[in-house]
Amino acid sequence: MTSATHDLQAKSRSLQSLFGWVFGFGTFLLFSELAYRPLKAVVMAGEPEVAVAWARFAGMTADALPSLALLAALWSARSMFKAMATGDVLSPRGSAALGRVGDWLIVSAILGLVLGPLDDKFDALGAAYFSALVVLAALGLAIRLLGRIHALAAEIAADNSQII
Amino acid sequence: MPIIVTLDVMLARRKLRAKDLAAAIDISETNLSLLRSGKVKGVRFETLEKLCLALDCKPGDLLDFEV
Repeated sequence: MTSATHDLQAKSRSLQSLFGWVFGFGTFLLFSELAYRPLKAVVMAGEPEVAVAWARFAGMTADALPSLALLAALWSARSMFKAMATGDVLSPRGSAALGRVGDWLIVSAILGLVLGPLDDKFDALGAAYFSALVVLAALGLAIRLLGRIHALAAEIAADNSQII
Repeated sequence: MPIIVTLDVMLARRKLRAKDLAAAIDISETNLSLLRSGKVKGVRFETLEKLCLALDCKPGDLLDFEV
């Protein structure tokens, strides 16, 4: 193993840990800020209010879908760094995980556009939100393409290892 | 693949063991075994040069072509 690979392995290990923590924090934040009260309402609701509480919980879940997709992107990034931390920097597993990061970012941007607060009113805040979603989608596409390049590089590396 | 590795023939002619050849040209026995069985996608010129030096032969003595 070269020193560059060793370095990448060490950095991947720290990034795996970082992304794990960020994912955990994000999940906790999403649960505490969005899911806790509606879930509590479902549990505490009496017979006539259960349907309303469930409907509110379903609405909240739908609203949280873009954030859930972002959390999935974080988890995929963690999986990618986990694959790289084994020392196998150019592996099909890592390529697939990198591609999935891009996929989830695109999904999040699309869900944000469909379910987000953008309606007829397109004020400064709406424009900023829309711009952020466009950047997110572009970033997702770029990462997706990088994932394909990574997969190609992994294929070449696998071929190269079969040349004695 | 029509390219056949005839390393086994040269080893027999030179009365050399694969283990000794691997040590002489500084490659692993596993890789040499893969090369002997033809289960590789290619041979580096560097490896070919080492093999030719160790076995005192030409690249054509190690590779054959059959359609």
